[in-house]
Amino acid sequence: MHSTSEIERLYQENGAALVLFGTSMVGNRSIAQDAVHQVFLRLLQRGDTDHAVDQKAYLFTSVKNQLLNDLKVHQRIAPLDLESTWFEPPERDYAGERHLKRVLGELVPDQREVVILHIWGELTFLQIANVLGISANTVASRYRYALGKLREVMCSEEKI
Amino acid sequence: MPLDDSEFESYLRRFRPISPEKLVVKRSPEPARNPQFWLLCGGAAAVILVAIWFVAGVRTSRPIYDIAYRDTTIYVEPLTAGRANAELRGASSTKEVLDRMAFPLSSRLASDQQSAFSVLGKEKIKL
Repeated sequence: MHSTSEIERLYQENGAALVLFGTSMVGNRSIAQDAVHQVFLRLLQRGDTDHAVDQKAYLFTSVKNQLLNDLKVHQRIAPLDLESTWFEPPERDYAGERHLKRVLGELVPDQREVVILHIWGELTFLQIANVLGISANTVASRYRYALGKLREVMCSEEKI
Repeated sequence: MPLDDSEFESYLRRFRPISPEKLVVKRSPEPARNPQFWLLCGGAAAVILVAIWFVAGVRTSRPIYDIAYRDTTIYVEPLTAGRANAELRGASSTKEVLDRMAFPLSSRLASDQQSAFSVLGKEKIKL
């Protein structure tokens, strides 16, 4: 049984990555944030996540399902909103933040979500495979392609 | 020299995703009471007041014990060996003592009064 503080801790630890993941799915940060809030409000009402074997994967899966339901109901798919801020840039590297966002936007959605789940969601390939309903090998393959593309574009345009 | 995978991942992780807005749970206000609820409360209060008034009225209208009853209660005290001896010492017979204890008023009749028992006992009723 999780107390409210325990669920709040899960929100603080994973909320940012969940919103980023949602934003990469639907293109709009506020829609993604609404979905994350819906998931956590349901958790607060129910009071536990004990039925989930892997709580972190469960949270990402819940957000994905919430967004897919929203998309079915409202047809709210939109192009990626690259104007809003996605990241807190290190050492005020705002240009780097814009650059990273743009390069992520150029990735195929399947590859983008794998990169976001692994780098910022800190999920293993196996966890990502469970969240997305694909094999771990497919996840690894998508990640490898995505990382290569990111590095190629970012290294060619910036001196990293 | 290009970064290897782990170095490039570390570089990417330096960009932290923006924290979401704080999760605010608004508690719904207490629902307004139905007017019927207040009517029921008023009715219940009225019933309680009537019951209190009735009980208080019954208690105050209870008849005051008459003198004979109060006198009788004097003898309802427990009979001790000492009082029994005292009663028996001055009496001519045990029956008299028992009668005096059972009918205390009979011994307090004034000189111009007669006991109904003695009057009825003297009458010779022809059947």
